[in-house]
Amino acid sequence: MYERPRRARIVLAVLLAASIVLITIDFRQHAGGPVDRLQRLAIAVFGPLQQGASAVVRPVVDLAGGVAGLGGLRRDNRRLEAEVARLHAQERTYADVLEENGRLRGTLGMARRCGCRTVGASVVASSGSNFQLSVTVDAGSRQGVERDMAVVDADGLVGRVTQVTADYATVLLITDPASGIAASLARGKAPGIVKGSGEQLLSFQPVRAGTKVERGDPVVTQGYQGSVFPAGLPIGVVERVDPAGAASLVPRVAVRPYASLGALDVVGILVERPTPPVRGN
Amino acid sequence: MRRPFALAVVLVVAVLVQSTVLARLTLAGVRPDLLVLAVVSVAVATDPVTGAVFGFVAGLVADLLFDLPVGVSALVYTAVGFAVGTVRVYVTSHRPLVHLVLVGAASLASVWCCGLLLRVFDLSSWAAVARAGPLVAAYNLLLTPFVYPVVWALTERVPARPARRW
Repeated sequence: MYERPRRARIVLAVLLAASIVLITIDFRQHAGGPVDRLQRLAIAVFGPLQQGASAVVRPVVDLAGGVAGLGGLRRDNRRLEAEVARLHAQERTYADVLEENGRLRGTLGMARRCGCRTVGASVVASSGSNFQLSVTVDAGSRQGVERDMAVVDADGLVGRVTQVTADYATVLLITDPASGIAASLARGKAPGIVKGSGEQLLSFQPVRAGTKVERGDPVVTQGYQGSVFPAGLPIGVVERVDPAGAASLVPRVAVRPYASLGALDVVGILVERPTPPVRGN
Repeated sequence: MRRPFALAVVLVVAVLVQSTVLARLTLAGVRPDLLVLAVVSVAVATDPVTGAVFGFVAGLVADLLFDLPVGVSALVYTAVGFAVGTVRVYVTSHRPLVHLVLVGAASLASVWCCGLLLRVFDLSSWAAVARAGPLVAAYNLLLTPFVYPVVWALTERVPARPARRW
């Protein structure tokens, strides 16, 4: 098709301007704005298609993923050997570990006791972008899902609901750089923020300088009035601590999430938040 | 079958494959960008305007579905579609290498530009952006032999305008 260069340039200019206007609207809008409605429409249209495609290709993809993972086995093996050595060392402080275990159990029990009602959902698609870590699940407002609800899998916190249609919802994973969660160390209750970095590990930033963090410390969500997440949901375990130094007042802490975020299949959405404790006057 | 319909089919299939298959098949921590590959293929097989329009729509759908700031991919893919379509006019060679270089350069530029925009909004880190560019480009090159000929054949078979008007 022959195009006069002038017309082509006008089309280009219009499209680029439209994109920039969209970015502006998207950043200024509140929930329910025009771009928000457009997004819900897109999810509602593509959701069933993705669900169908996912059901067909999942077994094949899982197999291929397994084969691709073979290369990582050697590295895993080395890591596990180091882990065994570490565990041998830890065996000597067994009593300590036992106590920690008790505390951890308490935490998990609390999550269960908090009276959170969950809705089960399957992951139908993941974000195709390299810079955004989110998934689409097949539960929506019909099942009682709302924006900002916490999403968990069998092992720990997965993320937060960011968009809801009648039958589908998108979930921002805790590993996404845009994700920040109020958290605390299960031991000592030191408060902080867990942020995603786009990589597998999360970073925990303690609020107070001089917070003591040790490798192996569990990290859980911090609940306060009006917070998105109920307290005590397990997030992950401290894997590495770079002590505070000249660069930073607080130690830099890397946290490995409990949830298997790379291969999510079935998740639970906490549709009923626990009622906050009544404060006596 | 008109060309817009054919291009819409290309877009829907690319989005589905990207979000259900390729999103789970990460190599070295990155996933390929099938959408930019589709944009390049369409731009090469047609003209700058079609490339830009296809890029805009593909980017918009990606932004909406993949939970990105809406407009970021649309902006970048529009530019990629137009640029590749324009360069294509001057590329007379049919040698595969030339087209592979085109795909590689377009993928690299697209990932880096999207990453740069997201970095401006503080939604990504410099390290992740720098690393993702070459890896996504390499991954896309592996997929090129499967995507390019399909899009080419589809647009070749479906003329821009029907030969006879009625």
